[in-house]
Amino acid sequence: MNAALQNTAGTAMKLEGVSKLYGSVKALDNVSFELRKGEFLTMLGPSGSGKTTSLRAIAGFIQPSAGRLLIDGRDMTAVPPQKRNIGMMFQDYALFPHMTVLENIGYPLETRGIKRAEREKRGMEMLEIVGLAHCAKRYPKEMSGGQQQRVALARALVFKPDIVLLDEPMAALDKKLRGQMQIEIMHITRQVGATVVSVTHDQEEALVMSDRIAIFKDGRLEQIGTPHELYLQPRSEFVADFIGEANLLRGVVHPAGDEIVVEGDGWKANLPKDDPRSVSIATAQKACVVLRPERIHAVPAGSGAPNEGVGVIEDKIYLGVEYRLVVRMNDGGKVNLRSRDVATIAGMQAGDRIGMAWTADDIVVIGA
Amino acid sequence: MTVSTNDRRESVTAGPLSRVSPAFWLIAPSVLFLALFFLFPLLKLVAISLPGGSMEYYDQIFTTPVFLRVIGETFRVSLIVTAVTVAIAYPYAYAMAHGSRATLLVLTVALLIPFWVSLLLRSFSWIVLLQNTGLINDFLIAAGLIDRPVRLIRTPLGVIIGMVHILLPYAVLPLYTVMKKIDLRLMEASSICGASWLRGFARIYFPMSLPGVAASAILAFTLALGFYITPALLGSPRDMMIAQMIAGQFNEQLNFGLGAALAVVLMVLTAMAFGLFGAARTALQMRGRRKGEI
Repeated sequence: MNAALQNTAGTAMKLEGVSKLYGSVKALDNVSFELRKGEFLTMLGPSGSGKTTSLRAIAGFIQPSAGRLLIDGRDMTAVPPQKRNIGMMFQDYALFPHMTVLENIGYPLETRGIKRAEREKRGMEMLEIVGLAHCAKRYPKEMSGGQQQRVALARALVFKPDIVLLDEPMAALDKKLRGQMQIEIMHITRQVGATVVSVTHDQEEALVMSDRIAIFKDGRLEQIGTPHELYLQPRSEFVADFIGEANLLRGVVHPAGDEIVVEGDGWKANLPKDDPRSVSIATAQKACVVLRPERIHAVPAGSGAPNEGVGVIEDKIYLGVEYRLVVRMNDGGKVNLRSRDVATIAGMQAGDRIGMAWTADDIVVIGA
Repeated sequence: MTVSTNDRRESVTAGPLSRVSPAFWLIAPSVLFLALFFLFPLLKLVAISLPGGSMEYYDQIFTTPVFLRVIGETFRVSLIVTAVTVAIAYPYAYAMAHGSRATLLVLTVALLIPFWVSLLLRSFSWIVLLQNTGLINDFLIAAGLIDRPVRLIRTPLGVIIGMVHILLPYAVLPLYTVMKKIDLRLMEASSICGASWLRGFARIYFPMSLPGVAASAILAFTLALGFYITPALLGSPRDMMIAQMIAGQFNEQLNFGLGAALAVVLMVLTAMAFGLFGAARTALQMRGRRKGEI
């Protein structure tokens, strides 16, 4: 994120210490991040985490209690929504029911004083892009949910806004359409070169669509980064758990020679002392080891490897390409394991003891 | 077991009356009541207005200036009253539909309490308020705004004030029903599209509230055409409306034929006003369609 802060030339928007109080409830607590031009950023978090409040603050529907919002370098904190040049696709699309599709898409141009002929020309161009040119004269209620969404997207993009906001873009669609529309929205916004901020509580949607993801929790920005960064280097247990599947093992930290060891009942993880991850937990008493299910290797119990855990197989599930094992640790905690090592696992049974091995590169350590 | 139940049900419903829908028996009492106490007297009224098939009373109405003047005055006052009522009802209904719960409660109570007081009583109250020594004039004089009382009672203004007050709930409720269903998110969408509140109101909110405006205008107008007590109490004889004239023919002149003919004229004109509203609405919708097809 520090690298991003220096690269201000490509900054589309910047939030500086934005907070929002409702009475004594902090809906947003000192949120700062920036958005690069042309980027697709998703704000991800459970309900009540502050992601929607952030979106509405960016749109200008709510005034932050503290902090600043800069768009293209200009302070927009007190500017009303109609003067921000932001496009927005609402959760239930908010299409104007008494206007045709083309009139809906032409509305942002109308408010900018563009003549009818030009409005219709640009509206039709936009309809071509979203693949609905044949629906120009229809009314919103005569269209399916997926089509309405594309109209809403076209309306949000037609005036080439500085930023496009998507509020829970998939929430009103059925599951089958979602996957398709995720890809489509991504393509369309890239095609027109839009800078996008989306809000969702669906981590899969965030992973599919985003260049970067901002994870929110309890009104705070927990971590921001590319999906890859968040998956490989979560900075908190919450992020580790929220992005992808994670096993969280909590243990005590102690040094051993030129290594740092995190150890629990029946497992331990060793890290070289000069590893940056070791530095981050060097002074901690306790730490949490994040183990992704696909990074664990099943080995015979008691192999004595430096990074190993032992447990009892609780469930063994065959999924064709891989096995999925649920292993009960000594302290009763469960560890999920996915493995394609069919030869090793085929012989194991539920109730058997199993060894689990990994290398220092397979784990993330979070100081507690 | 199931089969036998089905059999029994069939045998019960297979009687001679089974061809009549059960819904008919539910509405039958109302239909009978209306036929007996509304349709029959109405036909009787029409019959009285046409003694021996002669149109003489209608000729009289349409050739006597005083009748024509009263009919014209009735429509003029009703139109003004409708316009004023809807203009006041619109922001009132807006506040009810989109304000806080407390606002809704206060406004609803303020609207409905007078509604429960009899029409006669409310019209009399306006006399107390509007007369030369009434509350309004006393206040204005005490405040030093005027030297001598402004004539409010026994003027068209007095009639309009009284009628607007009585018609307000009728105009507010249809508007409220329509406005309640308008999603304010559409106004947010309008503003993020670059529209000021005023533009959003003119292009989005107001067009969407038009069905409510139409409903409340029709209701207020048709009710206004038939007003009797309020203009009688608050207006001068010069501001007489058609209902007063009908009552006069029945009660004072005992000219039942002419009274009946006037009543029929009022009814037909009201129906025509309805038809006109309907036609205007259809035309508007057609225009909307055509506009959308460009």
